[in-house]
Amino acid sequence: MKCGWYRLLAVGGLACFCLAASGCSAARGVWPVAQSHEIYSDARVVPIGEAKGEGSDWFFTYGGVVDMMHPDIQKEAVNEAIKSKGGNLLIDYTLSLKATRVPFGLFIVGLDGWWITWTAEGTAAKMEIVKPESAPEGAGKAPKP
Amino acid sequence: MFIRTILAVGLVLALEGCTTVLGTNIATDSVVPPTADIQPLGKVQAAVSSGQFLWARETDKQMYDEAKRAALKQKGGDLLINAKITTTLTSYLALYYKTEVAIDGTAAKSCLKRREQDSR
Repeated sequence: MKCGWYRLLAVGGLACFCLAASGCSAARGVWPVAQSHEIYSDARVVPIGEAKGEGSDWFFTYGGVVDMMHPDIQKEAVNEAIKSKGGNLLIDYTLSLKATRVPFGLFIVGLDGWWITWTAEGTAAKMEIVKPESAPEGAGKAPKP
Repeated sequence: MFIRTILAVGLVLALEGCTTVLGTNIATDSVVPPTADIQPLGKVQAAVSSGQFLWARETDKQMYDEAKRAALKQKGGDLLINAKITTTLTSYLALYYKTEVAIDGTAAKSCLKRREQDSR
């Protein structure tokens, strides 16, 4: 009877050890950002409303480090949020990271899959250039998201 | 002896957890008009944490806003400047996850906003 408990504890301990030794299986983060695009001094920012956008992608690593901070996915999230409200920039927003590891190493040693998702949440806004009477044509053009 | 060692290591790892820290340093988190007069009020620190089994909670705007509100409340400011934002995720044997968003920065008041509010 005593031997049975020991065996159970050993198997449990070994399972815990394997799980712990396999490392962290996720990463989370939040980054506050003031503005997604440059605001020109002669521009007026008109908030449109709360907006949310998401960008995600799969990555595979073989003993390497995953591109968690990939700028293209962040940009995709920001652009989607802006597009959802028809604005041209995002202000007072946060970028949130959700990275989850899928340990394919159980089947192929060293291989890991990563599901990376960036979410942009904030206020979508429209930037309107306040043109002075004598301003030359085309000056202070607003950027496209 | 071998079994006891494994159990001891497993227990230590379970209690310690596996921690991932991600973060950034920011000048400010909101758009400040160039004409605004920013008045620093003092250092503030605040943290919000949440834990759940099997899956790590997402760190979203709601969690950040909660931490920011708690930090600004300490000095009665309306703006956060020169701040360090840290997200810490601790996994306990991949069974329980604790997520924490911490803010360490300076609370400030934007005087232009106050004047605008007064004129309304």
